Amino acid sequence: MATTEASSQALQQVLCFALAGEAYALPILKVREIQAQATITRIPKAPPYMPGVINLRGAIVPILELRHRFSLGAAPEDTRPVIVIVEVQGRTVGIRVDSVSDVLDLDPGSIRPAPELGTQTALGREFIAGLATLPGAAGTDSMLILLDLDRLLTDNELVALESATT
Amino acid sequence: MSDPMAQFRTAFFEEATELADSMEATLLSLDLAAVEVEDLHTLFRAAHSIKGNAGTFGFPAIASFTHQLESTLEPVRQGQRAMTSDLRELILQGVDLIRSHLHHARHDEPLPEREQQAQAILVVKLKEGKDAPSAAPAPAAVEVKTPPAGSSSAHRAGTGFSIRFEAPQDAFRRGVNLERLFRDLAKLGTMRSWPDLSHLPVLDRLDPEDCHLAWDIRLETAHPMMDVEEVFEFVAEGDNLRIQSLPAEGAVPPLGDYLQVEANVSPADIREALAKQKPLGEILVDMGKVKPEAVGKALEQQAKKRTQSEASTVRVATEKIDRLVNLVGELVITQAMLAQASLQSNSMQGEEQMSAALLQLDRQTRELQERVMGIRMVPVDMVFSRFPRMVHELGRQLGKDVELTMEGQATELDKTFIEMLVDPLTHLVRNSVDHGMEEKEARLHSGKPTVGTIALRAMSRGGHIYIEIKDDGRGLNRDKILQKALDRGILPPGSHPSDEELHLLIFEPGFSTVEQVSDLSGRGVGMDVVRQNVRALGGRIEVESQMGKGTTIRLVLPLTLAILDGLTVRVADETYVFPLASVLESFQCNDADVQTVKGDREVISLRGEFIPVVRLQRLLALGSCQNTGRALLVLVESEGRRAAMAVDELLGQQQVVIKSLETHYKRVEGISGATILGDGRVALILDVSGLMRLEAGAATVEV
Repeated sequence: MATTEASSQALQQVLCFALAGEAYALPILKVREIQAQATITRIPKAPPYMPGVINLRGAIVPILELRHRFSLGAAPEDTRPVIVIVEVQGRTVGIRVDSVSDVLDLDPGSIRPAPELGTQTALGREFIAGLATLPGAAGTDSMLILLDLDRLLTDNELVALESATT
Repeated sequence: MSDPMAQFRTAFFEEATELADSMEATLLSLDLAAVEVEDLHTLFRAAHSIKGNAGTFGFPAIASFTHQLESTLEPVRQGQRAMTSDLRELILQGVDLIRSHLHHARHDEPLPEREQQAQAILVVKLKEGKDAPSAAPAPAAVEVKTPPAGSSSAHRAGTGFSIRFEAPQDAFRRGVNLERLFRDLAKLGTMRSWPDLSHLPVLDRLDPEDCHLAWDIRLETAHPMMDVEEVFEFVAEGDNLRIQSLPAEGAVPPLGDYLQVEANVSPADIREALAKQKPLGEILVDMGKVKPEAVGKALEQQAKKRTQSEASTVRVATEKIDRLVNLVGELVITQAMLAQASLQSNSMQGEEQMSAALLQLDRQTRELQERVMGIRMVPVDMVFSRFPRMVHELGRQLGKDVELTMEGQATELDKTFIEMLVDPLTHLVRNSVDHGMEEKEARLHSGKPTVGTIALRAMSRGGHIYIEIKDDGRGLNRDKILQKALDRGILPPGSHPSDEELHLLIFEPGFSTVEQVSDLSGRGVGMDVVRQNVRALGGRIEVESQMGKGTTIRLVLPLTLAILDGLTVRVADETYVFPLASVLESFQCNDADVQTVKGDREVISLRGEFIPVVRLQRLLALGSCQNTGRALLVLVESEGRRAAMAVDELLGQQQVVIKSLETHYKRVEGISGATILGDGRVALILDVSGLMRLEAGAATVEV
């Protein structure tokens, strides 16, 4: 897909995080900051993957529950979720993930387009910018899923709802 | 705009608008029987300043027109010409034209043709009145490049005209000499013409006695438009003649103009080419890159932004700023005190110092907040000042004698409010004159003075701003409104609404009880806007009316948009804020007091009135309510409707700073915004009327 190639050219540094045992990554340029758990105020009748808002130094910022978005089930009791604050198209959104690991330099050439996953998967191909392999410690390579943030935050019902109410 | 002049121009527009306003106000306050010389000086000075500034900032069109006004005023001020009521009307029209000039110049547009013509006519009229002999020598103070007086003072700053002339079909039969017409035209200046033969039919259909010719003419001349029109006097009919001024000197003409002159491209071809041009949005839609709705939305946003940027400055009194500077100075000192105190915080003295400094900080923060808010406040006179003129005009048009009194013009309002109140108040005042006031005879009949009175009043009371429009006209006709409401199905048959509810119906869209729709009002469109805007500002409307005695419409608005007096409540484990303005009372009741209607709608009887009960926990989908046997109800009112909202706990009353949910999220039904509580958590502010709608909607769905 054209967009996959275009965005992979721009990708260099990525922030890696874990979600239900899988490794994901976001382009670091979109990340504004990382917040420890904050109290989420629930919004009435909001979709479950966008349950509420938090106070980010005076700004009211909605939270995207990534586990819900990808239908990965609720986080186990012992995880202490972290909120990654990203800015996409002038809109600030907090993404709740299980944990943040580190920042990696990725060679754009090592990023492969995502394979066809079938329409049944919640995490549709449209949210994946590409896959990268990470050399593991014991010679076993692991996989890193690069998310396409713009798609994730604009292609969802948030936008659909907005245009319906205004 | 990277133009360094841009910011000065903005200032010019503001100042010129103010000057025009002051001219209008002065004109209206003139007592024609005994004109104060000082008033005439004021008028003259205002016109002079507009002219001078317009010239300096590169608006020759405005300058030369204002010059006309100025030269009309000059003999008046010298006592050589009397200020008559006719002259006053003419100058008022002139002021309107200046405004319209300013408006179009601000948007970088030329003045529309219609107004140009109006201007030309006005200029002639202004001159006509000049008592012939006293044709005083041209005013001494001409600083602006204007063509030598006398030769062609109606000439606008443009250097000529672009003319489109379609000869009438019967021109030949009538013996019109088109040739001579062009000769006459050529005498006026340098002419260039492009015949347009596109209307010629094919030869076998051609009646040789019919004329199918049209021309595009470019005439460079110093003559006024009138002279050009004169040439076409016998052939101009309907819209076959269009004359437009060429772009003003200094303005950059469009590409087409250059092509016309340089490459001899005919204007008809340019028009055809331009017609092929499509707006960007349309092209994108055709390419399938974007949906039409998206383009519409983007255009709306653009328009919004445009209007926003237009009114984005506030003039602030230096005194207000000085006080702010002082306050910030004090804050710095307090901060130093706190830093000092924190160093020795374990000692007795340090602790004392600390609490003293904190107290001071508290006071200063509050004051700073108030003062910063104060910057946004502007006197309500900014809206009121336009009404004397409007009432004057309307009264004249409708043949009613109406006097307008105003009170409390100095009351300060948030700038945003002022802007949003212009339309509603205009509608209300217009309505009062048009519908509220009876005809003179009817007034005499009912023993009222023939001169009707409309009183505009603004006051600030208890955290609210009240704006009242009160007339002594015929009042609202209760029965007629009720009948109309029943006819239109706004009220269910057999209902007996209170006067208050009934009166508010006049704000329903499309609701008008006037038999005759005049071109001023009566279409039932305006009142709907009134309600919308007032609601958007978080205010409410009250109507008091007595048949035959008059009507009072009161707009109750919060002091400012940014801060709200709130009642914080707990529902389930969330905190919500009710705007205190809509809270009437709160009380406890037993579940037994709550009765069920139609199966699941709950009502409670309070002092003989049945009030619907809204279970917030259920409405906001916070899980099912546990039945405790007792309920805590908050009685709220909005737009004349009441409801009792069931909450779990009252937490307290506090001022909250309103934050927008929409900045990063979206609008939520029933929620008007969010705020941040003392502990850093976000609390949502409830939109009472939204909740009522939500509840009503939920009920209808269930039924």
